[in-house]
Amino acid sequence: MKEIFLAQDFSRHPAGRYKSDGPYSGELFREQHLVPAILEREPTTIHLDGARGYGSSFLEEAFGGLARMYSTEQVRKYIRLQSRDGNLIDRIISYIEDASSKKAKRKNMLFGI
Amino acid sequence: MKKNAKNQKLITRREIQNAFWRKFRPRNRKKRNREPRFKACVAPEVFCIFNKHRNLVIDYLDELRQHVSTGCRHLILDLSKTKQFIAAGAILFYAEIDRLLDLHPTLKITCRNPFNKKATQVLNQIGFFKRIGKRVICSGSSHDDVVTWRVARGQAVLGEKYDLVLGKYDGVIAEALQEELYAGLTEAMTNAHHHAYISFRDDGITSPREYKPWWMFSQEKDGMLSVVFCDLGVGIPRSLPHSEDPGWQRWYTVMNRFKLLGNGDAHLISGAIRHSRTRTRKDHRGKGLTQIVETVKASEGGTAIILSNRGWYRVQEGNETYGDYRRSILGTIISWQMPIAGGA
Repeated sequence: MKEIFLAQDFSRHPAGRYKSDGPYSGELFREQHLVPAILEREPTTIHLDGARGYGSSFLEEAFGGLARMYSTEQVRKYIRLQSRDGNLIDRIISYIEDASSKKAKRKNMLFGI
Repeated sequence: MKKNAKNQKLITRREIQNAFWRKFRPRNRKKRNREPRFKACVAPEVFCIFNKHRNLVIDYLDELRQHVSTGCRHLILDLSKTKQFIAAGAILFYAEIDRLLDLHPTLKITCRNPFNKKATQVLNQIGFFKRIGKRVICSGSSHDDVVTWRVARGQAVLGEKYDLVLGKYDGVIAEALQEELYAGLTEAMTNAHHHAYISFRDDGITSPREYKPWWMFSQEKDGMLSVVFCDLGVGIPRSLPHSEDPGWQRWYTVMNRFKLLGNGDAHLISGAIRHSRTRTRKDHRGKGLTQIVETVKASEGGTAIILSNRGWYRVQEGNETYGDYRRSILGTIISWQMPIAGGA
């Protein structure tokens, strides 16, 4: 089991959606920490406490973006979330569900279902 | 002797030349109508954009921009009559001056200091004098509500700037509120970066495509903490048709289809906020603008106001109100106000 402490291992000031937005964006966090966890097939716990806060753009791009790249099952299997704030975890789960339902809808449209 | 004779010869020659010039100088020369090289603009007494002072502030900023866009490169800001700076008005003034200086490196701005000592101290505290390159010897501020002004500016989404403005309130305001404020401010930065500078501003001054600045103030007064964020972009109503945000696109399409775009800026802003919510709408947590507005949910008695172009939108204790002013501020200002226990 691998552990990532977001505030220490990434930044205390996570913000922004894309890498072009700023130095500690959701896209960068996904590429540096979340995608390798799934590729290595190693369950990883993300500790969210200690950061200044989380904007929806950062969370949506990091976790929603991950759900757009991989299946929800894979994301749930390898990414575990840890925080004192239960609301924060609920929000992230809703971003993951939102992204995967959007992906399924797009797929259905493509295949004419 | 020889030297004197030489000087005398030179003087005589010059006299002949002068006499020739007096006789044959052109008589029909037109006097050139030279514009004064500087423009002096008298600032309003109060920098506030909420009430009767709003139009005066907008007129003043219009005048400054007009002079610069017509080629004037020396502005004298006559602030002698200015008595008060309210956070939202002050940030708009500071941001406009900062932008003019950024976009016109040859522009020189000087000013006449306010007679009001407190107003001078506020300008000094927010770094206005430093920005225009004026040396002001200002004795240490005696007013509590002056020393609490904090300023940050930047381009892109820079979370660490939060510490500059609000870091000193660690342990003074609740951690949950700090987190909400951080999220709200960084979302405002993201919005400024993605949507605000999507097209040209209506003031006729062009700026490079990559120029996407924002400004941030905080002030503590009478137990209330005010945080103000400003960008000088096209405003939320004008950025709607260009936005890549699916919620905003949907809202704009509906408004356009039913020919409701003329209903005013405030109507468009409130719609953009409503349509920034997550599709699942679980926990009623919002994305983008909604998260900005919901920041004050974490504090009892908090208020959030969004001013964009002509429109204003306000949330106080869960009640939403919105409306339109007659004149546009040509940008977006987001203001949060919340009570804090004790002093910082």
